[in-house]
Amino acid sequence: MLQEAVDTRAMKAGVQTDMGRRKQITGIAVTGLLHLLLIIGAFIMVVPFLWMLITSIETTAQAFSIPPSLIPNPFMWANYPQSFNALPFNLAYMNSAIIAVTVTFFQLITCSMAAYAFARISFPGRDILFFAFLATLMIPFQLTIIPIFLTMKTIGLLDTLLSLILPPALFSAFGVFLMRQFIMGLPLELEEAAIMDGANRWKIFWRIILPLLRAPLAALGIFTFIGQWNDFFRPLIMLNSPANFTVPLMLSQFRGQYATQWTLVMAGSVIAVLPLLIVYILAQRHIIRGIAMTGLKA
Amino acid sequence: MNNSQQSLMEEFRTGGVDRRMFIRRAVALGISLSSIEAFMAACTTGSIGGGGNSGSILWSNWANTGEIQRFKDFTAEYNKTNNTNVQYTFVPTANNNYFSKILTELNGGNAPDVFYVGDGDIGKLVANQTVIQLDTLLSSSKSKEKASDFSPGLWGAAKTVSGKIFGVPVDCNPLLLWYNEKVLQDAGITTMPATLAGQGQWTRDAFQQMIEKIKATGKYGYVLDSWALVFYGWVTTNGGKVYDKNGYGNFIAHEDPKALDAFTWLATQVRQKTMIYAGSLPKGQGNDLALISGQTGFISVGRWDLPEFKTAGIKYDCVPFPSFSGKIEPAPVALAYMVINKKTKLQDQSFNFLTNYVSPAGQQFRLQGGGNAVPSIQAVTAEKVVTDGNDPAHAQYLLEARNIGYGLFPAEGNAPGLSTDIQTALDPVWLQGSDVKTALAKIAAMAEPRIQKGLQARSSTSPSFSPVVALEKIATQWCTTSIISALRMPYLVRPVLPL
Repeated sequence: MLQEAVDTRAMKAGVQTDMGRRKQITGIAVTGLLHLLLIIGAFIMVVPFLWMLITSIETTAQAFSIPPSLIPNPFMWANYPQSFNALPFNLAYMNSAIIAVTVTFFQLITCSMAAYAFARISFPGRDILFFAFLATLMIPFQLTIIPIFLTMKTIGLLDTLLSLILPPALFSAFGVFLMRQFIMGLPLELEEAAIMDGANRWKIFWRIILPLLRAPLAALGIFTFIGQWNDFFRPLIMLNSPANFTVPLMLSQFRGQYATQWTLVMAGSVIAVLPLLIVYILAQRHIIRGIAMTGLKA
Repeated sequence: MNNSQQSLMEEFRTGGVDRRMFIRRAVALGISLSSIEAFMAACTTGSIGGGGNSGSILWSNWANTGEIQRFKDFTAEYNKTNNTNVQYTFVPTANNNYFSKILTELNGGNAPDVFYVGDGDIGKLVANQTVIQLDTLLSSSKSKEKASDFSPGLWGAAKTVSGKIFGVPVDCNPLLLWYNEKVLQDAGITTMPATLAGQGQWTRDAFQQMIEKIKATGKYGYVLDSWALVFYGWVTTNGGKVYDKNGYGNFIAHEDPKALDAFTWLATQVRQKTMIYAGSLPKGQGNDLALISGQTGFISVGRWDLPEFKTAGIKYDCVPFPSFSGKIEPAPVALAYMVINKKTKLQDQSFNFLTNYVSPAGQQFRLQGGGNAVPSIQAVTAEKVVTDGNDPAHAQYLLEARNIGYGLFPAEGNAPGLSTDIQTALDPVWLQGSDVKTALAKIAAMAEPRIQKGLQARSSTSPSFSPVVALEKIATQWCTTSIISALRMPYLVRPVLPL
């Protein structure tokens, strides 16, 4: 009897072990498949970048040969100095950096302050004003470019970096919306407690709200920086002097009316993308969190 | 005008009286309202005219890195040789969105004094009268060339039906067939197209035989560019017509048997894969790259790809489009025009720059040593830049094609966006095998009202009143003043409201 019981228990244990193993194998298979899919996805994402890198060190004939030549022969490192020397890229870098950093800095201030007002201060017509504010997101930039151009001309800022800094530094409907939604989610009790302790509106914003906005501020800052760095149309319209040109404007000079110097464009693009790459490497934690957050809010 | 009136004018001009006071006193002194209006308009627009101030002229065009230095050198040379008090400055602009920039600047009264306009855009500037009429200046002693020095087909939409000229072709690019000799030789072709053309045997049948042989080697015979001008090249070299009334009338390709034959033949070739439509190639891969990489035997481009072909180290040559007669027939020429901003304060100096720029010497200076275009002016000295060095071997065809070629048809150039819409409307023919005649008939129906509208816009001598334009102006002014007021706001709004 005892032996039978032991055998039955052993059999059950064996079956359970088998099931456990099967589960383990299935788990490994699922994880493996998932990783395979992710690797394929990552490969698809990284191919354009690799293609850009490879093309930047090839000759024109190699760049478009069929089948594609994945290992350049010879390596055309000369494309880099040629691209860099063809145009004043160092100035363009400086200009793009000044614009992107200044706009990002001021936009974070103006957006967070406006967002706080829209989220927490009640005043007549607040919601109507906010929706009107949001409605400006629907207006294509091409429609507002002439009034902005005329304004910049009237105040004497045409062909200066300020013409590109001032409008976005003062106003961003997207930024205000993003910040307001986040502030709305913060518990009101925090501010009530601060009022009980004698804090005024400015102290509440500066000491309580702003520190809690770190994550959305980082996300907005990164989006703004990338947007400003890559902007082509506004600098094209506002700037005339090559000394004021930004990186995208410089890059576009490699493209003629009919023909394009692709290898130089790619070398220039690699040079242009480096600062963004550095920003990404330094702030990837915030970028991923920011994208996840804006995705959820949207 | 009596002394009091003159002194009032002078006081206003020097800022002694403000605008409101000026109008009051002017009316009291009996100056007619139209005179006041004209005087004030002169004072107002004087400050926003062309891009340059009274001592400088700005000129602009689209330019890539290779061309920028050439244009800078030309400007420096011009400043040196002309030795005037006016400083000429070149403002390079990216080709991408060039016309949007120019339009914005024209609207803002800040456009360059002299600038380039593409063949598809000039009609718009002629219609809205933002550029000056040049035919009288071209026939005056101020000009270094006459309008007749240019091939008659090159004026396109820069010339109205009545013969008024608003832009001068800076140089040009006749479309020819360029071929990769190795691809042809690999396909077993022993007599090259240029040789056949020299013998007067360069017909569509000869071309078809070649592209069929190339296709048999697994390559494309010809890349049909997604560009309406290229389609028209096949029509006109087949003896067909695209527009009636010398290019100023309606779209008639659907009714013209030879045009219909050319379009049907192209569609058949695309279907049989002896040709590939460029619209089906990966984005960014132009026909030039297909030729360089040996994927195709023929492409149709201008001289602009020559530097690229040289760098790539392939064996190439050019030949006119094959024709029904076996001889060279009229084919399209890609063009850009130089125009003068109507608001320039220095019209004579602007024209002097223009006339030098398009003169034989000016074109020679810009195009020599690796230039990527063909002189638009018929002058032996300038033409040498194309034929010297025999690169390509039959470069002479570029000049012959220019002499009998034509720019974008004025009817199409005067209707904004029509060229692109025609190209899009033909996509189903090349990509899905849709019926050619039906597609062309639809294009004719779509194009007719737009062509008529374009003609009407150009035939009006003064700008007509448009409520939309007026509203746009008011809105622009309102936006500007509001933004400026906001920027100058001397106080801060501080809402002090409870939570």
